[in-house]
Amino acid sequence: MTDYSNEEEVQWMLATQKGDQIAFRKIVEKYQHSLMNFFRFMNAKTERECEDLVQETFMKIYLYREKYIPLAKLSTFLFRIARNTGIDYIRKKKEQNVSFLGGYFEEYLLDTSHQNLHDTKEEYSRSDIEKALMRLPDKLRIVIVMSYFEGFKYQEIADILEIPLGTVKSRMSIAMQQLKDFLIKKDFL
Amino acid sequence: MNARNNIEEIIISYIHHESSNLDDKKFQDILEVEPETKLILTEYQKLDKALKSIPIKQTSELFTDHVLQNIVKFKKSKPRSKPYSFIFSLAATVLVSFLFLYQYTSSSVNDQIVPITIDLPIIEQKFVTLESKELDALDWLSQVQESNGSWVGDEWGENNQYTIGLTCLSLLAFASIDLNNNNEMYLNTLKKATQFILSAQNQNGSFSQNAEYQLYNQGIATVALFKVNYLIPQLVPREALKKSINFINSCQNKSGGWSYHQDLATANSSVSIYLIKSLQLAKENGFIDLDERINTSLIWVKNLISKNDSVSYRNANVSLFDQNIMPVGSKISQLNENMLSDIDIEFKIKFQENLERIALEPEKKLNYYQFYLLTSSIKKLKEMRQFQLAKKIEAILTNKPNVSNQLADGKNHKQYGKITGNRIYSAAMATISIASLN
Repeated sequence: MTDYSNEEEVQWMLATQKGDQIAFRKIVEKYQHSLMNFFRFMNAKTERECEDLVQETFMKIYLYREKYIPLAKLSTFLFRIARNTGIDYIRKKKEQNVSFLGGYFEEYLLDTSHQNLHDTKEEYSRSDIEKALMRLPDKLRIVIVMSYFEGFKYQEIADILEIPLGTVKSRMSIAMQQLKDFLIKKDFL
Repeated sequence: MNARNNIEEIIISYIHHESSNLDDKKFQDILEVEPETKLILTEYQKLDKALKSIPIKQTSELFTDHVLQNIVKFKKSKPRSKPYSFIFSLAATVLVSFLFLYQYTSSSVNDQIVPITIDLPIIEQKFVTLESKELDALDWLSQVQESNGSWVGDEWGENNQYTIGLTCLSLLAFASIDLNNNNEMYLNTLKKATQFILSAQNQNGSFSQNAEYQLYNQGIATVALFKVNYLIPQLVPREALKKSINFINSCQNKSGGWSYHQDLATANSSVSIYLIKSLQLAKENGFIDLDERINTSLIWVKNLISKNDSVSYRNANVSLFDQNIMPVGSKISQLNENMLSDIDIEFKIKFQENLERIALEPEKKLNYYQFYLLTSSIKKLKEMRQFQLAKKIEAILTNKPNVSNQLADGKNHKQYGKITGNRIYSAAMATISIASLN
């Protein structure tokens, strides 16, 4: 999980604003894994689409670099752009009347190489938890993804999604409840 | 706390360490008296553990380069697109600079060389996958690299004055290819060469062991280090680049150009091209307050061209195969359209006619001058919309066998000393040239 506490990255962004390519490279290196996973769980149908969305996000970050104000954490700025990129992507897919969720995730689930650990009767299996996650609506899944896979605190999620902290808490609560229900009932369809 | 209806929200905040210490304490008190709540907590802890067990996939190292390349492409596509621009202009400057260096040191010819281009591009990653014949050159360069990371040419200067230049050219050759797709030997070669260059840097930021060629070496070393820094940032400390740029700034003449060394009053175009390029790369990498220096130097370059109707050492009335005319063709190939308007249209026609003649002799052996000239000519032919001719020339170059051996036979360029010096230069130039074609 990416460590977002480092203030150095603010300096990278400020340097990027002045045209420092090395600084921008550091930002890409630090955040590319996180963004890939973000889109993997949120939007993309294929690995290629994940990469395209990450590419598009970094492109926008570069284009909008002047808009970044050091008062905000870089991660907040970056994931807000990522989220909007994802929303645009979903909107486009909807216009094309194409199912936009789960494609890549389904491929991921079919790949059983990563599903062996913790597959015991006492624990939820990894395979089941991933299927359950896929069943969640976007609004709920995103808080789980940002918390568990991106390591954000509630307040940071609130900042990125531009919603009140209380809403994050309630969405997180509902998401966890639904996940638990899906897992208990094995309701993954 | 609102007890019952919010209990799950409280539990989840507790698990996520998002509740206050006071709330945590209250919640723990509830757990003491409500076994049912404890069961719910256990369920969510199980879910929490399961969620945390989901693996996070890592992207490949190549992905960073892929992302940055696309952004660079995007940036460059917005103003004017210049395919091959970096490597072409780099290779051209390298070649002409060496030609000039040779003339400067070994002949009495004092004609001034007009710089190749003033439209200096930013660093662009243009990785190529070289075929085996091209890799021969790199293999050979790796083998003859000195243990300290440098390349030293036999009889190429009695005082090692070419060592920095040869090492940086070789370094540029390795930095022109996709190291991720080639063997580790190349990467080690690049690292050793970079370390050598860095270790050669003096306290004042200069790189040369030899004052006579101080600024020539400074330019080529700085360009090479910026290129490596772009590839593997951790290899080149920013401080080293900063010192080098400061040194370059301190040596700029009032005219805007630079001489071979700081004590000379007359600026030299070949030396200056590298130093202008260094400043432009520095600017692209976040160094500030360079605009005025760069603009002054470009004005100096433009003045050179406008007042000089000769663009070569000698008259440009001989075959393109003649190495004396090679710098002319090379420079013509690199000049942008604005600058070309200053050049006699008859010369452009002659240029094209010569290339057509070469296209009729695809089997003719080329020396490295001609090899590079043809490489750089392709771009210009395409700009002139001579696509068929460009294709023919490209075919000639790509069908040449074993570039390094062919170029390194020493037969055509004895004037550069014994084989080793030639071969280092040729192998590096061949790689840079071929990389520019891909």
